[in-house]
Order: sequence, then C-alpha cells, then structure tokens
Amino acid sequence: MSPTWVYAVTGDLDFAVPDDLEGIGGARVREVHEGRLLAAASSVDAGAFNEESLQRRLADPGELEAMARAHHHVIGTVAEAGTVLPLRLGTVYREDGGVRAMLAERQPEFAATLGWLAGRAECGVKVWASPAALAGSGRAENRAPGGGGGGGGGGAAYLSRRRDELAARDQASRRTAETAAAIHEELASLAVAGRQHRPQDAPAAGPGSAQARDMMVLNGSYLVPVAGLEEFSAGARAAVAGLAGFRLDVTGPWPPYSFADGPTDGPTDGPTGGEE
Amino acid sequence: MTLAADGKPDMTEAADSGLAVRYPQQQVALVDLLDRVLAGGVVIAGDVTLSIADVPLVHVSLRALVMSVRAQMCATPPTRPAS
Repeated sequence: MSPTWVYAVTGDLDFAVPDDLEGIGGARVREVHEGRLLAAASSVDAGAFNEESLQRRLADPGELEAMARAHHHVIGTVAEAGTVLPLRLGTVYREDGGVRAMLAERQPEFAATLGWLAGRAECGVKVWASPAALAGSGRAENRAPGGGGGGGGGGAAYLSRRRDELAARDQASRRTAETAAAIHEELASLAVAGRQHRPQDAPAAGPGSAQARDMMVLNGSYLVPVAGLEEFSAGARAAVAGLAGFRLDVTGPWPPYSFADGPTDGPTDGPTGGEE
Repeated sequence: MTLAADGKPDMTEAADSGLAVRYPQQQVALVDLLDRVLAGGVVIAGDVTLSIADVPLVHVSLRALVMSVRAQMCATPPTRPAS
C-alpha cells in the first residue's frame, strides 16, 4: 500500500485535477473526496517516504527544492481553479482513509477558513535597509571623534568613544526595527491580514552590487482581495518610497500559505494581527 | 493586465467569473517558496505518518538546511531584478 501525500484542500467539489498534473516524484495527482471537501493528493513510494528517508530527502537541497516546487505546483494549479487551503510540505498519510478521516474531522474549521480566503490571495513584501540606514544614517560617525583633542587622550577616551559608538548602533538597530514594524502595520492596514516570516539572511544581491550589504528587515505576507492586488502592490511601494535607505520587493501572488490557519492565531503573526 | 515576472501581480481575465489569479511557478525564488511551504500551510496531526512540524529534529535540521540553501544563493546571481 502506498502512502498518500496531501497538497491542499478545497471546497470546490467540481474541481477536477488536470490529467497531466504531476506531483511529488512525478506521480499523478488525484482527488480524495469527503463530505463537502476535496483534497488534492498523490501516492508516494512507501520505501522512499518513511520517516527516516523523508528526513534524508529533506536534508538534500536538491531533493528539498524538487519537493517544494512539486508541492507548490499542485497547490498553485488548484488555487487557479478555486479557493485553496495549502497544507504544509510533508503531510503524508498511510492511506487515503486517513485523509478522509482528517477531512471529516476538520470540516467545520476548514470550511470557515476557506470562506475567509475566498477571492483573496497572498502578496509577499520584503523590505531591506541599506548599511547607512542600519547605522543610523551616519549619526554616530559624525558625533564620536572629537576634532579638538590631540590624539584621543588615551584609554579612557577610547573606551568612552567606543561606548558611545555601541550605544548609537543599538539605537540605530532599534530604530530600524521600529521602522520595519511600522511598515508591517501600514501594509497590514492596506490588507485583510498580515503575517511576518523570519527575515531571510541571504545576501540581498550579488557581491558586486551596491545592494549586497543591505539587510532584510521585514519579510511580510499580506492577504489581499484578488481584485486589489495591484492596488496593494502600489500602496506598498508608496509606503516605502519615502523612507531613505529602505527598499522593497513585492512577490506573488501566492496561494494563501501564510494564512492557512485562518483569521486568528497565525503561526507567524506578530503582535499586530492586522485584521480588518 | 499582465505585468512583468518580478513579483508584481499577474492577473488574467477569466471569461466567466471576473478576475482569476495566475500563480507564478518556475520563476518563484526558492527562498521565498521555502518560507511558505515550510512555515505556512495547515499543520495537521492525526493519522499522519510524517508531518514535518511533528518531528522536532527535522524542524531543527530544516532550519540549518534553509540557512545553507540561502548561503548558496549568494553564489548564484538573483534571478529577479531588484526593484
């Protein structure tokens, strides 16, 4: 018996998986029906998808990318046909019966979340700060070295200067965090809801680029009515345009991965929910 | 009203039901995708043989892996133009 990999749930019972839709490992994707819900699922090889071998696969960047892209491909295909509730990567059942039991058990909750997500999509906004913005626009540098003193006055002066520099840096990073939080709040107010992911630590650009040392300060996701995606995108750009040293990248639209837990209690939600 | 593939909304008029969304596929950056498929989505416990969130060890190694994937990305130039 082959285990069943589950991609997503939808309440669109008319949804028919396209014949050529391939999932994990190139397997044909099929529908699993239960009540008023339908899951997009496919069979995976039992030997390759027990807990131990799945861990091994996930530890291989190539395998992880292939699985992530296959998972996303199926979810995106279902999402283009109707409202979708994505499941986290790696949700595997021993058999279809387990999938049906899960659908039956979670039916009210899934139906409510699907209703909330209907007609909406996720928009990603990443905001970077330049080194100058992160350092407080050179304020520390302008203040610290006294022009008058001959040679700095030894150890005590050095320590005091150093302490000032560190305090200035602290203050700058606090200001940057406050700016990022304010941007998130503003974007969430333009959206139905907002969630924050951990900022990515990858370099923002290639080593040769002027933006290579920029740091991501906000990795947000926003739930937006489909008809308002462009308006939101423009609003996001306008919100950051006036901030010296900050720039943004808008990604998506995405199926509502970051909002699969419904209106409340999001796993990556900050203290400000951004509910309408 | 289709815009460039740099993350701006790409929407297609659907003949019957007003606006439909086209979700980008291949051009999606892996880091952005991993943020969502590993940290988003419904987490289900039950008759699940394996769900990543249920296995703390996997979670830990995934975090390390995602960092290493991100580190690798600096070796390859970004596919999307910075806006």
